[in-house]
Amino acid sequence: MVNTKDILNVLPPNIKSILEETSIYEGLQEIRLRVNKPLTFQLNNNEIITQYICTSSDIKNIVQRISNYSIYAFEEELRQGYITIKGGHRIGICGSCVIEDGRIKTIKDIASLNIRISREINGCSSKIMPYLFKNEMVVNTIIISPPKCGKTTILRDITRVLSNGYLSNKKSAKKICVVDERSEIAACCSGVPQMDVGIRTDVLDGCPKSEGIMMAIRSMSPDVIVCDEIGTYKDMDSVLMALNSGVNLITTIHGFGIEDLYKRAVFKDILENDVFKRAIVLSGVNGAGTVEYIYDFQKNEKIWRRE
Amino acid sequence: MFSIKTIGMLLILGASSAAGFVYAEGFRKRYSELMELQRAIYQFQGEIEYTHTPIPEALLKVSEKSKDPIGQVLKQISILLQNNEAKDVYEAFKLAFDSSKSSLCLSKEDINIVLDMAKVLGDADIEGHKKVFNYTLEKLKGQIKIAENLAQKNVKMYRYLGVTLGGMTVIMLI
Repeated sequence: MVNTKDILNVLPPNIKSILEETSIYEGLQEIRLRVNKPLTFQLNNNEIITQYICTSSDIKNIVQRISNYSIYAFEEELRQGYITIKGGHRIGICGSCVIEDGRIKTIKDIASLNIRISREINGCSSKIMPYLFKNEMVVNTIIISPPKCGKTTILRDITRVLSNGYLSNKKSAKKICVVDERSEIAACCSGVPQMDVGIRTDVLDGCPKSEGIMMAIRSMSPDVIVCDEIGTYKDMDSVLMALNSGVNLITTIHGFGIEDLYKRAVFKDILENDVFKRAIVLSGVNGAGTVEYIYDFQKNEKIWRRE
Repeated sequence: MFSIKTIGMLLILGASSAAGFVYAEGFRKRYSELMELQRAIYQFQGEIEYTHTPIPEALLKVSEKSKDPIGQVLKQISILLQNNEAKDVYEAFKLAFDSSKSSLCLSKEDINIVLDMAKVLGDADIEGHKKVFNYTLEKLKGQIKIAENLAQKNVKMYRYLGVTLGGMTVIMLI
């Protein structure tokens, strides 16, 4: 389901009317704007190049709307090159980077925007849910997926199902804490999740994963911690801390298979400590959210694969 | 006949006194509006510097705790920004102050200080906002001092002047 209202709200009237004319909401994945270049829409596997040439004032207008006229409120996100808007849609930003003390301070002269449409597909994780349990206990799981293959959508659905109770079994319901650094999983607006993440879910919105995992363990006594895209040494330390505290973890990384985990030095510690028991590998072969295989780290084999 | 003349004279005296009181009230109201504006900017500064709240939301929160007509103006700015009816923060401030001119006792100079602040709002980082708030509050303090002095001097004077002028007119008519 796509909440088009939040997307239309950030678009200037001229671009809004083009999008409304084309009525392509269902398959819409991205809206791309580049100064002096045509406005393009990315549908599932198609690209629609419109006749409309984007101007710098279009982009300035959108940036003002997505930042609520308050760039200071999005300093940290802007440093990372994106802003997440109401509804969980992420807007990627490109322009001239301003560097201070060797660190990106902000982005000025913004020349490209990529509006990525967030989707909520209830039930998309039903196929993989049985593999997330062992003796009614949730096992630490990592979702490995290339970009645009639906890993956040699946992670959100897993969160919802675990939080409400799998197969309406109250015993399997877990207290979940989502550390939502980029406001993509729960898409919080004023602290309230806009997406359905279940009735037993607490969300630490906009919180760095490394600090959020520790905060969640200390303050919310969760059964499961959910976070998106781990990848730094600090994140790994927190993951190990969660393991030592007996809290289960479900997370994601960018990649194409479990070999991506073994290749990167940053994951060495968590592999040595056998943190993850299962890996779910996604691809876009049959559209976003295609499960390629499910890997069991204890058996060192694929326990399910796409036919 | 006599009673109509008396009523007419009383009306003149009443109207003149009322005009004096209304004019004098303007000085007192300007002072209290400036004080409210200063308080609102302190709260707005806290919302931005401490919780990094976006401007429309911060203004709405501040407006809820502000006395009218300042509260109304701030609420209007917030609505203009939320509905994307202004091209930037400065324009939203300008539109709101222009449309509320009749209900405000602030001078043009007072409003210009706030509009100057609005030119920077939203585009700078937190440090930049700190500087512009300090500058604006400093300027407002100066205006408050002037408004206080004017109120002390003029409120009584214009009230007496209204009554006296009315009285003089009545005497002349007698």
